[in-house]
Parts: sequence; C-alpha cells; structure tokens
Amino acid sequence: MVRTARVGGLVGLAGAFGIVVAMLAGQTNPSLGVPTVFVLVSLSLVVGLSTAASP
Amino acid sequence: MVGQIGPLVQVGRRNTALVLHVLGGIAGGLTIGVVLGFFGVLLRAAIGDTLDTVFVIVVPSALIYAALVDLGILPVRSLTWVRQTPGDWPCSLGHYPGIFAWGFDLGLGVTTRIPYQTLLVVPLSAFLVGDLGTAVAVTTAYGAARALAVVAAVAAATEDYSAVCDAISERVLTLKKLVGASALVIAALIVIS
Repeated sequence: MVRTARVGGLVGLAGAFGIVVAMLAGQTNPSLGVPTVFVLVSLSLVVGLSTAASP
Repeated sequence: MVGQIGPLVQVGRRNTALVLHVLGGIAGGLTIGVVLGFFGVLLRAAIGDTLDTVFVIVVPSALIYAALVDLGILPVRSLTWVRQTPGDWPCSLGHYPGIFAWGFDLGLGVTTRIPYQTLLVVPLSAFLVGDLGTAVAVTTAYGAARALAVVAAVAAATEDYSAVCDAISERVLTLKKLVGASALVIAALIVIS
C-alpha cells in the first residue's frame, strides 16, 4: 500500500511537473502549442522514470 | 545505478546525496537541452517553418520505429553503446561531487547505455522542435525524471539494494513494453495535435 502510494505520488508529481513545464514552454512559443510540448515532456517523463535500473 | 548509489547514501547525509543526484540529473538534462535547442534554433533559422513539417513527420516516425523495436515486434539490433557511468567517481571526484556527476551523466541521456530505443527520440525531438525553451523543458524533464526514479528506488529499498536491483531487472522487459506502448500513443498524439 505504501509502495503504491509512493509510486502514485511520484507519477502525480511528474504529471503536475509536465503540465506546468508544458504551459510555460508552450506560452513562449505559441506556434508549437501547449499540447505538443506537454506530449513531448510526457515522453521524457515516461522514459526517464522507466530507466532507474540502467547504469 | 540503484545498486551503486544505494550503499553510498549511507556514508554521508542521505538526503543531501539524493538531492545532489537529482540536481545533477536536472543539470545534465538542462545542459544537453541548451545544446540541442541551440542547434535546433539554427536549423529553424535556416529552413524556417518547414521544420514544423519535418518535426511532424520525423518524430512520430522515429517513435513508431522505436516502439516496434522496444515491443519486440521489429527484430533489429538496438542502437546502443557499452559505456556506463564510471563507478569510481565518488572516489576520484569526492563523495558528493561524484553523486552529482552520476546524476549529470545520466541526465544527459545519450552518454551511457541506451536501455530503450524510445529514449533516442527524446534528444531527437528536442533538436527538431527548433525552440530553445521547449528543448530545455523536454530534456530537463528527462534528466529530472531519471534521477527521481533512482531516488524513489533508493528511498524504497530500506538498505536491501541488491533486492531492489533484482526486482527492477525482472521488470525491465515489462517496462520496455510499457515505454514502447507509450511511444505509440505519443506518436499518435503528436500527429493529432
């Protein structure tokens, strides 16, 4: 239960971080738009969070 | 990395070491983001808005290719290299600088072994997006996430780091398929958005 909460908290934190970053970066370049930046940041978060075991 | 950094955080201040590792990951992601973003801006200056078309074609195509490799559908040799983060850095650079440098090295993303082909699309997209701020956001998010994943694993380990490494290793194939599936979804989202 604690482990699930930790993982859930980490994923939630990452998601919130992604949204904030996407909104900031998307506003600096309106031609890209927030959705595209959010999708790219999400990709980074998914790949980054999945590579804890890799040296 | 969990097996290396885990025992080390017991030597000094655990939280300081983990925070430094995350800061190193952020710094590494930020550094490569600035470099790729700079070259991306140069490319945009050279070819203009055509870069947006290139982005919409190349990035989803690369994601689909990487996803097929990660999912095991496309049986081709993965692009990777053997270099790993040097284990002697905490000795040669000092305890905390070494842990920071580990985070930095991993945060760069492309200087160590490539566990998933989808990872290669992160720097590719940061370059082709042609915007410095977005490139930095994308790569910094990667560096921070990778370091946070190590911190979460170390925090959950309660001193049995080898068991955590074994548990993660057993799930590498599942994670690889998860990353591959996510890459397919993200490719579709890029085309739609």
